[in-house]
Amino acid sequence: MQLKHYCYYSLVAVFLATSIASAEILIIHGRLLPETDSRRGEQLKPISRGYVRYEIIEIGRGKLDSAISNTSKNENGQVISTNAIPISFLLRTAQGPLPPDAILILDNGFWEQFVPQHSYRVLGEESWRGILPYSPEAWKAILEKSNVELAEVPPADRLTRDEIYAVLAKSLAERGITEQDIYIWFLRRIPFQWVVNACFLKDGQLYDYTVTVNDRGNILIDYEPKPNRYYHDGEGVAAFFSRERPDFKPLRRHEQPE
Amino acid sequence: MTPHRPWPLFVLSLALWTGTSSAQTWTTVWTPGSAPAPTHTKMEQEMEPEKDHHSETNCYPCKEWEAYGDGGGKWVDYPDGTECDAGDDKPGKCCDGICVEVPPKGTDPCEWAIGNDDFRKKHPRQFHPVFGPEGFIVCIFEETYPCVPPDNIPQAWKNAGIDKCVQRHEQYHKDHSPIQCPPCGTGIGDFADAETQRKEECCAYYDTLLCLNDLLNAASDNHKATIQKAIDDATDKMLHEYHCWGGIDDQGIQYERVQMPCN
Repeated sequence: MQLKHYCYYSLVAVFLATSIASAEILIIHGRLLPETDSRRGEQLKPISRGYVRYEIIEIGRGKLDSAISNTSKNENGQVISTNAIPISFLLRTAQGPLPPDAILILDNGFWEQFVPQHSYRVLGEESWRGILPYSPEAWKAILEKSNVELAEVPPADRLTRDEIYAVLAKSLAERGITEQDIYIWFLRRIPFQWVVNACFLKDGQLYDYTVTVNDRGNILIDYEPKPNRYYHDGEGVAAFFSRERPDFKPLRRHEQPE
Repeated sequence: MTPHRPWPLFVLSLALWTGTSSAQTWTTVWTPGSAPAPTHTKMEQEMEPEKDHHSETNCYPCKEWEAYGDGGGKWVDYPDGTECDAGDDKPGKCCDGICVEVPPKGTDPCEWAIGNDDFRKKHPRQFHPVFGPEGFIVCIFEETYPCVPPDNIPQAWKNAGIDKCVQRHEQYHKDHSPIQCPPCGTGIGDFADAETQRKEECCAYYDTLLCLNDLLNAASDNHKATIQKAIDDATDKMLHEYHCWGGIDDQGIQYERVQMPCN
């Protein structure tokens, strides 16, 4: 069984390695199937995404992924549509109703490097970026943009490291954490977002804090700060890192790596 | 060396005075005749006022008074793992001279941990349905047991069968991960260091993804979105917390990719 999975994922990896280079953004004019909106269900865990189906009216650019089903069924198992694609977005970017007649800008390229996808992710996983109210003018304007233009925020417009400290401080203020208490030890760019691995000391305990932030300074996903299990009482942050994460340098705002 | 040293008794009395959370309990079993009657504190008397601790009573089920024959002696701990009575007819085993409650024979250690108030109080995070993990490893005298408390799993996950994949994640750790347990007693399994944890979690989450993908392929439509959420949340953890596929940060520092599948 393990071998079967290994072979499957190896084949997927080979396929993806050859296809990612030519993967392109998918632009679709679609009609919302409101009954498929997962946000109407229970959200007990801090689950981060919403899922919904849009019926395809027109494909403006790109190709559908044959591995992702277009068939939508209701709770009784009756087929609602055979031409409706599942799309996903981060819940924090879509609190309100979605446009019933929409331009969908979708891009699975980054994620398919890792695991096979079962739904289409909207651009940047942000609903306001990838689910736009349809109008003929907006449709024409979007189709005039190149994939390169659509696929990422230009470097000059990205949130800076300095600005990210301020975002974390604002989020942690109610816990009594100030900007000077916060260390960032790994800051990684993924499309439209920064993945921030930070930590802070509070009451003699080191806490890990991981968030993803967009270039507007909005936290899109955050995990509850977790006490670090490997921290020793009274230890300095630098001493902890030299022991547990020697390849990484925790930096406070305005600190520079040696 | 002075044959009769007051320090061990003093330390024991102090431990009893302060150790109300300990699993050590008063029991009425045999005591060596030559053992000096321990000095009982007010707190100890209040714990079990109905018992006369000045009678033939051993307050230390995991210790034995070794008499020197000259009126002196010392307390000796029973070997770790020696069966003892943890009080109220609860089975126990000795750990560092203290009787620690253990699951009764035939009881599933995970179910025991879930139903044991002392265990839950000692490990509150493991039983937090929102902020805690879905599962963990229970250690009972260095034996490991995968554990997924039903209350840690949302009902929608149970309906979609996702709890089986959480169970499989913990089973992966039991079967493949170098889990560290306390040398004796009960507790939660852990890893030696942060890097071991990262690699092992990547491996276990990869196994979880395989399970969830199988589940998704066989699922009815009304469960597909729930399973998709679980897949995406597991992928988030692998990507954001553990950097399982590696990555370079803005300073050029690189996280090493974990080779998956791992076994």
